Amino acid sequence: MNAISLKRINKDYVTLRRGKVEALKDICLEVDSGSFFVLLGPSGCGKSTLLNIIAGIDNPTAGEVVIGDEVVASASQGKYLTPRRRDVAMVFQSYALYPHMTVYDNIAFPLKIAKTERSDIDRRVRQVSEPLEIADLLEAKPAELSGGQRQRVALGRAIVRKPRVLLLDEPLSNLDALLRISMRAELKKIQRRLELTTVYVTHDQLEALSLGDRVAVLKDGCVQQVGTPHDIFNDPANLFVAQFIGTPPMNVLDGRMLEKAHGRLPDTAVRQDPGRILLGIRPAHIRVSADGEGLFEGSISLISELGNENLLYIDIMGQEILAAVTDAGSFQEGQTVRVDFDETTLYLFRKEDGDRIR
Amino acid sequence: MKVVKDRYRPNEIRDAYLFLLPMLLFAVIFILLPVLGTLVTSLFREVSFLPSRFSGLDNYLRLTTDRHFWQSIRFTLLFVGVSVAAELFFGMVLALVLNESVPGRGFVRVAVLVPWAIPIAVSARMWELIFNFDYGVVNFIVLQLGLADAPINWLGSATGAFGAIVISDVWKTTPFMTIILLAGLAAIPQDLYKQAMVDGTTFIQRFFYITLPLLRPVLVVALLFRTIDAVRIFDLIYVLTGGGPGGGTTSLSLYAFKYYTSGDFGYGSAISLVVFLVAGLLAVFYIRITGFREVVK
Amino acid sequence: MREERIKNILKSAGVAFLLLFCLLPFVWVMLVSLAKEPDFLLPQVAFDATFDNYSDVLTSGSLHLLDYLRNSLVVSAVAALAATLFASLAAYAITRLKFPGRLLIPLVLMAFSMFPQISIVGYLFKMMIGLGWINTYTGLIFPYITLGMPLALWIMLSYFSEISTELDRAALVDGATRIQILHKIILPLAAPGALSATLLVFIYTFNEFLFAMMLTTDYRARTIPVGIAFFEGLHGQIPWGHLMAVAVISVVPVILLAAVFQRKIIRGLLQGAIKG
Repeated sequence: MNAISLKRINKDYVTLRRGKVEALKDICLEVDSGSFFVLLGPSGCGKSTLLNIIAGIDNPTAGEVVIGDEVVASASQGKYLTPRRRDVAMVFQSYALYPHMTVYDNIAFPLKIAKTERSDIDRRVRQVSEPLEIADLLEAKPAELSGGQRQRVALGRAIVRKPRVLLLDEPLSNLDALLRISMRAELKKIQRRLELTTVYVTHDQLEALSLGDRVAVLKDGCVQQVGTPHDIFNDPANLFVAQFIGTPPMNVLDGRMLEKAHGRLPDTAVRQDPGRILLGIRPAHIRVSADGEGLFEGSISLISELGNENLLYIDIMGQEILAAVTDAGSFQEGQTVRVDFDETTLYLFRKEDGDRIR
Repeated sequence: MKVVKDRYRPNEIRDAYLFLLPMLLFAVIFILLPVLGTLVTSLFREVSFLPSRFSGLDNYLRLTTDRHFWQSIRFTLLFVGVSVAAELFFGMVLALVLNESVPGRGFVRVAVLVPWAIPIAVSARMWELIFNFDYGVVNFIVLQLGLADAPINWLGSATGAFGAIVISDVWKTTPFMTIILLAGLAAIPQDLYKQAMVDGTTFIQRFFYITLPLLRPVLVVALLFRTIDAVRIFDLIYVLTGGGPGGGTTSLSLYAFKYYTSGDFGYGSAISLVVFLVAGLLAVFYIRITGFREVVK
Repeated sequence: MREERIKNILKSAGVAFLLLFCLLPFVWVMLVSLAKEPDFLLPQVAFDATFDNYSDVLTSGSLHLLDYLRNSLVVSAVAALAATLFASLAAYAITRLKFPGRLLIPLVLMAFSMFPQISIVGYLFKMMIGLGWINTYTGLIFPYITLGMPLALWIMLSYFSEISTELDRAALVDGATRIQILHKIILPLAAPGALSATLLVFIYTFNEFLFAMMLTTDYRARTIPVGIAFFEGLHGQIPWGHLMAVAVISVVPVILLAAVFQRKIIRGLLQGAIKG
């Protein structure tokens, strides 16, 4: 049984400035019970709106939301359960901690609203704060806490209810880089341990790949691709996904480059019209040599040494491509080099709509 | 180990007091001095064309047995209670309703300022007309709707006059209250409400757990000022009912005024100091209840 | 979405109620001022529109309506400007200079503003008699400045505190004196606040009644609120039409100001109450 089922969700807004805006278009998604599902996309793609619709804070203009075996929202039936009745928990980007309540009261709040027994509340609050390492902060107010601590309190408040579904809206965006990485691991561990169905929204593709069991990539209100991180990275459905996922981003070359190298391309590509296709190649798959064999000749315009990965910006016939190499020591800026790649690592896309040609 | 404190620089102190001089001067001469003067006067038997004579606390003792004085205290407190409560209630309701974006904002805002901007004296006469026995709108509506058989003499009965005064006062100050509460509401982050929705609260619960607590500082300040203003009320009553009928709507300030104009300055001064006292007590009461955080502005 | 629709209905109802609540009484006043007979609500009486009420009151010599208007405008304008000026000076010192009493003085001044006017006016009257200022402009302006200063101070304080002190430091390094800094840098930046303060004090003193009544005796210095409060008919019957015409006229300056400057006024009012 799927924990969450989104059927043809549409959401329209009417604004004074732009008239009717279609924030979500025919979204269909299935989330498996107990899995960590990530909604990934650039700002404005509608991922937060979708999350709000699952939570019940917002309602779809068309479509259905099913949690468990219960239809919690249906535009056609005009039925929309309040968040209260959906038994979902949510963590906002701003954490939304009640500033006038102590940490204890913040975490206890949902339990208090649900009229849980006082002794029960106490036990559960302490139970939840222990692993989150906030047990000694229970009497403090949010204003006295650091960003990381607030984040954990928000998390505590969400899971203390043992909800059916946990929703997280970019909870790590406000943390500094190091903290973010450690919290990522923490989150995943907690989710695994509690077997909590989780939907996580982010614009950070690295975060999505490291956290998600499955990832849905959204753009402009449409689902571009759904799959495991492995699928999304290695088998992108279109140009947008290919360029959005992976850092440094995939190089995209015009089809005319093809003409430079006949015979060393996949058969499928040879049959294509060079003017109508685009080639994608990840920086890590590009081989650079100072001498010897190579498909193209170019000159290094910039070298970025990043420690375990080094980037070479190479200018080829007016286009700049990025190559990631492990050892940049032998190269110099301005140097002429030969660039090569394995044809099996090439991705082909149709120029007019960005779709992948498989 | 000695902690070196940030010392004041004499130049700066001199400059500061220079800048403050005009304000301090005015405040001392036209507020402090008169109040002290009133205090002193209250200790004298000062009746017009009689020689003034120091009488100590005689005037105050006279207050304790003065029936009309106690009546005016009762009236004033009753008025304050009812009026402020009404303004708070209506102001809150309107603020909640208007908290969402509203079309025609500019026009609404001007409309809202009208009751506040009109001089009390003018609005008092306006309400005098509205509640008038023969020509008033209220009587017209009451008769039309069949709520009564004969026109009501609003200003002629103690309760009617009280009602008229409260309505006029609420009319004048509710819009002001609404604006202030509205601004306070706008300062509460929307995320808190969304979170509370997800946490399973109803609208009423959200109001009591989130809106009210976070609105407290604003509420306290607004209430403080309104209450003190209400205690001093004079203009409205003087013009609308003149304290009648039969002294039934005489507020403390009006009572003091009566004695000023009838020549008994000493007694009038004593009464006006009582007003001062009541206002002061209320202020202290408020500050105590809410703690000193508000004071740190 | 039923919930949304209910919300919208409530919202519109709320706005409609608010508008009616605020404007209806005054609309009524205007209607009466334009009618020959004030009891035109009765079916047997017709609503005769006329400007006679207005022309009567404006031309009546014994009414001195225009005198009252002039007095009010002058007194309030001068008091408002002076109050804002003094308050700006004080606000500058309080927000930028360190001196003993820095926190105490504003508090004390605020407390002063809460003194009941009745406790002040008695002795003030005696003072004014002694100074010979009864029924003069000066006799009203000075107390009005004092009444308006706390309000102006409140507003200027919040505007000044939002201006970074770094500007002052830069100007000091450039060789400016404190007065120059206030004049050339701070005030221009706080101009909207100064405007708000002046407007609010103007409206406040324009509407003031008790002091005006006690400290003036006739049309040479009397202000509009007093004038309208004492407006009686000749034969015991109040000429409602005339009265309402006077009411409308007295209110015109303030309503105009409110309409033109509504944003500033509201912002000024809020600055004090909300504080950021």
